[in-house]
Amino acid sequence: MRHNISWGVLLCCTIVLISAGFSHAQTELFNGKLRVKGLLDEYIVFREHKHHDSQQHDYGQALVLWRHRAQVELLFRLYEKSDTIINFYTWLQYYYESGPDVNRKLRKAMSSGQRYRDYQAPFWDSDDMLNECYLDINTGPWTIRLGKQKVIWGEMELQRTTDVVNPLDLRYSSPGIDDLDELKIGIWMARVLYQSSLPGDLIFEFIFNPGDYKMIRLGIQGSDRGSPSVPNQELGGLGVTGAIKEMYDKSEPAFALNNCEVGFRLRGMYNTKLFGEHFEFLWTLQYFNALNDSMIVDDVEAYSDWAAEFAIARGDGVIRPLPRKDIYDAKRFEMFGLGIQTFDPILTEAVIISEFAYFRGLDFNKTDNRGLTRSGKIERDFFTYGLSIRRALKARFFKKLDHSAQGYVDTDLSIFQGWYIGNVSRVYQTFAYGQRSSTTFTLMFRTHFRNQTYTPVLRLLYTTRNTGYVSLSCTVSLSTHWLFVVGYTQTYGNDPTQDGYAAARDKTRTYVKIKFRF
Amino acid sequence: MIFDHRNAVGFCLKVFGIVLSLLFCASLLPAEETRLFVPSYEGDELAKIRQWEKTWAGKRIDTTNADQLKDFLLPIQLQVLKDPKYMNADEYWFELVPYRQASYSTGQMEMTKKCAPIAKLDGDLLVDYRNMAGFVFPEPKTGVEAMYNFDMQTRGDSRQEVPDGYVVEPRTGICRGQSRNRIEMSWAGRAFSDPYPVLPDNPKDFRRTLFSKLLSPPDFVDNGILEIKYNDINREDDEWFWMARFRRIRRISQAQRGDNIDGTEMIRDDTDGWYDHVNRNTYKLLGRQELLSVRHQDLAKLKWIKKSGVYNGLQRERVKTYAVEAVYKEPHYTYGKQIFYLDPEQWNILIKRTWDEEGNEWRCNENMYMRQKTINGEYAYVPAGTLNWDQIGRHASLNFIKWVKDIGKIFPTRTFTVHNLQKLAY
Repeated sequence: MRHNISWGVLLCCTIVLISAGFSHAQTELFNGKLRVKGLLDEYIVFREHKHHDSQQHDYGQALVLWRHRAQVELLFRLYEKSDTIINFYTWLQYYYESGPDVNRKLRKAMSSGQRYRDYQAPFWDSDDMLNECYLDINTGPWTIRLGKQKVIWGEMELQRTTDVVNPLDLRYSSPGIDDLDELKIGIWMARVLYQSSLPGDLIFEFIFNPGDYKMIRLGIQGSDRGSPSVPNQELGGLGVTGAIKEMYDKSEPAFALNNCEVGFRLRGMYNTKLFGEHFEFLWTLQYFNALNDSMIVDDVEAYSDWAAEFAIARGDGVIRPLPRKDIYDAKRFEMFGLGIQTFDPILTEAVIISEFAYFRGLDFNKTDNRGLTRSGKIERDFFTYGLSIRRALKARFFKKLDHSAQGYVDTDLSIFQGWYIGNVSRVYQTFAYGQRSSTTFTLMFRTHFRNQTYTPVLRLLYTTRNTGYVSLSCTVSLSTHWLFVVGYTQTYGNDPTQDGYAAARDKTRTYVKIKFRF
Repeated sequence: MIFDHRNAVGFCLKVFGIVLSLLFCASLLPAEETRLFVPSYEGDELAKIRQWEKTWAGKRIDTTNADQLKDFLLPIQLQVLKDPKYMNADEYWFELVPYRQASYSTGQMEMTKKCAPIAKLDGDLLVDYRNMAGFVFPEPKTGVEAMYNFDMQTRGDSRQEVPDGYVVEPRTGICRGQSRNRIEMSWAGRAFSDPYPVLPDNPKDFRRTLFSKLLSPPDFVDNGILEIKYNDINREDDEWFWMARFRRIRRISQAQRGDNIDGTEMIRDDTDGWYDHVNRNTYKLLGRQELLSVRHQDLAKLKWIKKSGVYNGLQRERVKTYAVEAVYKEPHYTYGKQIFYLDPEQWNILIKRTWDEEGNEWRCNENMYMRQKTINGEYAYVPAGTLNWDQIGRHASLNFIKWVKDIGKIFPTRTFTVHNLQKLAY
């Protein structure tokens, strides 16, 4: 443990010392052919424990996460002539989460194997240290990117509607605390864009993933963002969700062409006059055919046998091995999406963003027992939309606090809704069992003081299942290189069966980020 | 005496003939000629300036002698010269250089000769705005006329430049660097490179487009901005922003245009002094004011004092500017009032003073210019940098142009598209 901490700190110090030689914000070497950019950051989370369930380890008011991270981005200009530019871009990262080394109870709550392999360092997949790595060929109207990359197809922020190409890594953070492109997991793919001269500035986009499947990464059992650990160790040191994760890992589809994913996107601009005013719409149409980054139980019989064995094991204390065969599988679905963004000069004088997505063929496990057991597979379609209204308001009160700010407050009010098509009484869902629809509201206020030295942000999220959170943060930007963030998130919810926020209602946390950028 | 009517008629005829002759002679006199390119100083006035320059030209103006030139400096400029520590500098000085009359491009002369005689206003709107170019009101009688001269100044028609700058908190010395790559092009009002005055292939009726990509600070690298101004003065500008960190394209609302840009002392309308349509304000011509301004800056002589809000080495010459007061027509604008000081020869806004809604003098935004060669071998006056001070908050943001090129080049249309914002962004 100490060895790992020392190694992590030494690594960070070495990088700081090397990078301290860079006095400029970004560095260009070899006559501008190589651009070097990067950051070092410390992310520390303190959590207030409120959950009194006896199965929960009591962290107290403790440090539950301390991630040291180093990232370097390298951009090589390989070729440039006339209107052809070929770049090679790579985004490397290394991190070490030393929370379990510092907090003994946290350490005990996690299995050692999962803690080391899947949590503390980037060893989940062999290419985890490579955040992105691709060849970027730009020639005339063509852009071709080949390699590991992250694609963002939506314009909404806290909730994703059409932005489904890359899965998320939610082991340490969530949207709003970390940037979305940091939370996404890169996938090896080819991406081609063509900027046409057709009316409407049409851009055609095609992506092809030849079979690099990556599943969503949820919190590791026992960790800050994972489910609570359990005191019994019948699964060889794992709790139930830890065991399920092991089965997930075993079942994860390998790199194979029949696991390929395909996407098309068409984007354009449309100008028109409505009610005497000019409107310009940025619109997109999307189609995505892929494997779901959440897997379902495919071999229901094997799963039921294991679950039954585990139920017995919890009584007799004898360790039962996990099933040898693959129980889970990722199923294919299709997504049809539409996005529109415009500025409304008449009613709201705001930027309006709307996205619609229809998911066809989502596979779920079937339940005959009101969500208690899985009895088969069932398919449902899902329709969702998001609507966001963004506007800068002027708050005279803030102007009194800081003259330079002029009281501008960026405001974003959003609503997200989704409906399953068809009866869901037999659809197995971890949360919100039996709920056919969902509605979420988000509200964000952001302003700045002292010429954007201080940027406070207030975010609120509320679901109609009476769960949500309030998050307040402040970013302090003291120089070109240094950035500090302090934040507090208060989650709330009543029914753990309804929402993850409720299940983790003791996840109220305070966090600090210290970033050095170069 | 008997009245002889033949004599009376003859008398009347004689008088009538004399009057006719006088009128005829008067019609032969040349009309007062409209002067198209009026220098800041000429004749006796110029001689006086040269005489004055014998004392001052070439001198370094700093704390020790700034008071003697207070008539040609704005109050805040004098304040900082006398007390450089106000902007966290140990010293602040500029070089006083001789006045140089501005030169004009072939296109500026041609378009001014063509458009000035026919230019007229309909209220505060320039008739046939789309097809006008050159300095349409060479001797402006009103603030609006002076501002249309400014509006017609395209600063080379197009150019690519890299402004390198800093946002400085003088009290603490905290500063943040900023750098961007900027491509600007005028589609109408052109006067430097063919075709002028308008580009023929302009189906969306652009007037001016700006594409900008940030090079620093690190968190903002590859952030991009696309601004589109239209010939239709009733149409709001379109502005799109690419957030590299979030990899999203955002439309910027009109309300956001009143907010500071990246923590600087500038809002979007402050670019080049005034970036919106002329008819957004009501104007009042205050008269002429002689100021020491920067029009022929040699960039090699500029020196930024680290962590300060000043440049040393500015080259100022005496210029008889046009002072125009502007008040935004819509209520609750960021500025209660602005005063623009326009170059009487090239009609750039050299300095701008602003007041907040409560009437407190707030900011002083100075634009420095330099004479640079276009791709056609002529010269254009393009920005050399900006110096912006917040007098209430005691804050500064400043930049100088690291390099500029392609002045007058016609950039491909796809440069100014939303898609180009995310191209080559990582």
